[in-house]
Amino acid sequence: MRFSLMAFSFPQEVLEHIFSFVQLDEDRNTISLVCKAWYEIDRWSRRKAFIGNCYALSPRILISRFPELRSISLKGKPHFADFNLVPEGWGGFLYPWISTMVEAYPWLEELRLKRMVVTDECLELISKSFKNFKVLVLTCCEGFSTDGLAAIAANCRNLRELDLRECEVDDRSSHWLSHFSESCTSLASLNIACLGGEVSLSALERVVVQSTNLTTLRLNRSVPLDKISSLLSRAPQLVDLGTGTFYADIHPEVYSNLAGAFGGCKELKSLSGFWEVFPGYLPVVYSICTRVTSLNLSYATIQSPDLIKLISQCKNLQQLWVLDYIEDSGLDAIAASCKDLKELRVFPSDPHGLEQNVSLTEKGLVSISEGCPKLHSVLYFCHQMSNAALCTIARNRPNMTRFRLCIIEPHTPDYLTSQPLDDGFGAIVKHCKDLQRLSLSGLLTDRVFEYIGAHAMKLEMLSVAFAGDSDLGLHHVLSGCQNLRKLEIMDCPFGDKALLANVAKLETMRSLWMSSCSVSFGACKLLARKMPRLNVEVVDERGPKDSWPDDSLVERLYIYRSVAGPRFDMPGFVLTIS
Amino acid sequence: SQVVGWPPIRTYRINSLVNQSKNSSVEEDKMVVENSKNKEIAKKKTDDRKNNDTPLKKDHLGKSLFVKVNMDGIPIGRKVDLNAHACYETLAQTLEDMFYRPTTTTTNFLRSSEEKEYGVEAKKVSKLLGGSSEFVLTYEDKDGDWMLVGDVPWGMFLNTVKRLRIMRTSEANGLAPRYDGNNDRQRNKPI
Repeated sequence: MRFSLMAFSFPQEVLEHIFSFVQLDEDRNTISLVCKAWYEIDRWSRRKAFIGNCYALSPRILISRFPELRSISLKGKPHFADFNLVPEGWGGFLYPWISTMVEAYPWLEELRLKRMVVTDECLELISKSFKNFKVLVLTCCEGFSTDGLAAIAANCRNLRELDLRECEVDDRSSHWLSHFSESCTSLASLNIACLGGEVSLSALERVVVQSTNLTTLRLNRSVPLDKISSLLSRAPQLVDLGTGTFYADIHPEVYSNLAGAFGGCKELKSLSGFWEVFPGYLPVVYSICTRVTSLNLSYATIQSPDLIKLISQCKNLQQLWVLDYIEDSGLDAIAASCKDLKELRVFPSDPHGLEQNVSLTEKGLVSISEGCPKLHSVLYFCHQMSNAALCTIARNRPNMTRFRLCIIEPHTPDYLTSQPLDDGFGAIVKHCKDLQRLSLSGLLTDRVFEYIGAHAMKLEMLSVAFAGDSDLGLHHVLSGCQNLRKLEIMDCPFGDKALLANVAKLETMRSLWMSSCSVSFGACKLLARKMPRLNVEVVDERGPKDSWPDDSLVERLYIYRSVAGPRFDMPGFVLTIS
Repeated sequence: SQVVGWPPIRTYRINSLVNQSKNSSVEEDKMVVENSKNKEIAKKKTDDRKNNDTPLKKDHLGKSLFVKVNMDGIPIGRKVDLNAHACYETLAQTLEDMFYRPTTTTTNFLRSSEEKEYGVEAKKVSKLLGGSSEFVLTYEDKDGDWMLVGDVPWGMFLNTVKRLRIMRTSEANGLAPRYDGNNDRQRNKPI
């Protein structure tokens, strides 16, 4: 008897249609493994690609695998580049990607880039080559100026999103905004918060008026407070607003205009900006507080009482970024009023100060962990911590997925017992079974890594500094943590033994960064020899490397898996060992 | 002494905090001078600031202000924290160390030939401020003009500097001529 296979083979169009409902890259990857036919269908119908490390593959490889992409996300420099640990010129250049994509993806619509070097030339090429270009999101990028932005404004007639997040932009002119043509009405999201210079207010107003679909508008510091009223009254449909400066002389008319303008925005849910705040103006936003779900006050240098008055009215708040001026008392108040809080970030107002300037301790965080049942993401800078507090937090919030604690002074022990904080962080990884991201700080021995290696099963990213006693610490992590993708380490006594004992692990991860540790040049060479599909980059500014003895320690080491082989765009201080 | 990369805060955020305390102090002065109606608010604000962070009182001490530094002939730029210095001399010394001497490490394995190479370079920049060497230290100010470093008071320099460039003296001829001593505060625009 012959089985007819007709019932089991759908036409390609049907399969493609079904696949279009599967959005997650992971799932699409699984689909492509079923059989050759499905691989081909997926290959031709894939429209989005996320590349977590731009050096893991080459533009050619991407294009030959997925010939019809419309949306690409690329990440360049390692995370620690944010903290000045990666010298300028290291890499992450966008140009090679753009120059190949111009030919291969003429219908590209979206580019999302993080920590890449983007030049004006790139921006110009993007604006002129992709006729249907819609979305440009640049996070922590550098290398471009307002001239490049002018090209984007002028040529991308269907632009929907221009989102600059914490980029270093060379301010050449305030008039780049006026390059938006009057026929461009598609803009829905404009974020220029990171621009240091002035923008033409008239051009800004014109863009806001003609962009009837505008829902996100994040201004930069130069936009004066009184301008907000006119902008808001022109765009009452805004959902996400980033103010410019929130400081002005008190003036009753300005005040009432502002209050009225905010009151007219019935959809406004997200507030940010608040560069320099004059507390007397804060009440203008009170009328919308109950709708606010996201509040970024992390640049607002206002005191706890004013902060509490504002935040405690935001009963539906889900995401809060704030400076440590909030203090423990403020966090107590938030724990009592913001029951929907999911994410909290507390930044230090004086990170390099010699004395502590605010009363923010571990107690505030414990309070929040008790009062906010949905809290799952924390970034907390403070000066003191205890194992007891960490254990309490862990038991209160087993749903924690991202926990980043930065005790500002390295090697700080439990302030109550003078013990290392191993047990506290151990409790975190034991109780929080879904923990995906963890940053450690304080006095820590190899034992904390033993806990992490044994319990942090879902951990994907681990950041470590000034911790551990020996290679055993690193070995615990590399031999455990089965889902580890990114590991970044600075100033720890980890060296050759742990690395060489876990070479296979490194190919299961995206990348490993180690700086100011104890890895020898010889070990790097050995590792590179054993694992040809890893790029072992020694990033070291001390002269030519051919003469280095094997036992010399390297300054910085960046190891990542790649199917593209060693890269060719390295500056002099980077050596890819092959 | 500050460790590079710690605490883990983006330069963008650190610089924003510095700029804020600078701007706020300027605003404070403006407000005090303005009409008496606002005097009470101004006073309240001053009191708030006094109870507030120490940075304003310390005049940015303890905060970072990283700016880019490039040197003609060297493709790789660096960043330097201007707030780690209180005068031009220490800044110049740091820049010399940055561009012409190896970074301090426990193991230095440059051989003598390389040392010689670096040694020769070091001589070139020993007098960055003196104007008598092959290189001179310049900065780009808020208005986009390139000025010679050292002509204005240090505090004023901090408020206006955007980035630095160690320029070949031959290229610096278009900039303001040097004045003897630091007494002359007059700013000259490049020709």
